[in-house]
Amino acid sequence: MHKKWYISLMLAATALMQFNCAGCGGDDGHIEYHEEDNLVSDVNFDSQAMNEIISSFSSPVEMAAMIQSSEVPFSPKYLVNPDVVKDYTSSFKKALGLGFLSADLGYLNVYSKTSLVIDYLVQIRSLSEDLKVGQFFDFQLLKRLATSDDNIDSLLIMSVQSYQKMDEHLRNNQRSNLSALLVTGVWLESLYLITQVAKDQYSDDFKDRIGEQKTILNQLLPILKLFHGKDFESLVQSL
Amino acid sequence: MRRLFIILVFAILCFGQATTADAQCKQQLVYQCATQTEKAIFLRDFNTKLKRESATDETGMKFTVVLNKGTRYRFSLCAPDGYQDQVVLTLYDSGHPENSNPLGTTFDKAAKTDAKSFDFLCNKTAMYYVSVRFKPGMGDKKGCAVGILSFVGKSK
Repeated sequence: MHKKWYISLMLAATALMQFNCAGCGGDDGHIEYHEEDNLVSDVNFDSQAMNEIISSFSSPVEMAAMIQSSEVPFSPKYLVNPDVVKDYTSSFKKALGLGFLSADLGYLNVYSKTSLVIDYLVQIRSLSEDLKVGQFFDFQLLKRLATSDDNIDSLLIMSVQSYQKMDEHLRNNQRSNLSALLVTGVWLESLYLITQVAKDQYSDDFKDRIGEQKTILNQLLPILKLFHGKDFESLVQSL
Repeated sequence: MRRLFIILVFAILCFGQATTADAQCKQQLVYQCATQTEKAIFLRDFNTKLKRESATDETGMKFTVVLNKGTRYRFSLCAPDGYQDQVVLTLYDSGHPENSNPLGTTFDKAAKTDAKSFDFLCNKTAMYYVSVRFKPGMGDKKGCAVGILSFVGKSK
């Protein structure tokens, strides 16, 4: 498990605890994940209600748009190193990782950093194929858009739509556990981005936005608790 | 040449979508709608199947979306030719029924006018509902419509 993942979780837990998030703090921030591949959703719950909640979570672009609108300069230091994807060996890690990279791709697209986009596209393709949702990620089209400076808007739109379709496909095919991990990954990485930006450039807006994530966490945690397995238990405990 | 390539890829994509879309709008319309948000940043789409089989049928679809306090959002609505004046996008919260007290809508019932979009300044981080439906009394056949959510900026 790469360093950024630990940092993301620790920061998320720390930030939320600062805002009196009773009962949602982690212990020592150390998370041990177990290899539980071929995750199959075995949840006995109103799946429509659950999918409704999962699908409501934010776009992989929103936090980046908020950061950019605050005129914060771009920094690659906030991003996951795309090479760590090789360490994501289970479906659990791959789904979370796909969320991390989707949020980072949103950040790069909002800041029009197309020269960095290709590395992320390559790894997102790899993860999406491993999770059998690669058919919704048109790598060649996105790559082509990324290498053409006058197609920034198209790249952003097509990237977000690919993410939406992958998520929807997972939810519609009894793989809501992976969908939940995907949106959790996006949420965690977005939270990591804003906590890092707030450290470098404090503002009340950022502080408020971080604190308000308690509302999102309160929606997300009950969903994650529905899924079984040590990986999910560790994740819930860390949040 | 690059533009031609992109148009060709989109055309292929659209054809592929058309065969599997199951009455949702084609990718081309979604893309066109998403690019009409002016300076707002595209966040997500609400691609909706519309169908009314009887007068009492609830048409269209309802989506959930988390919106964040202090952010100005734009909701836009697009529909294929012939459907533009038949559909309505409504934003509401869980505390109010869809039609009684909407937070925003593309159709002004009193003035009977349609808007392509409306802006919403969110003052509470929470889950909201977006519905895309045929207007009451309209839509006796299948159709589709696309709602677009985009980020306009932070409130000042």
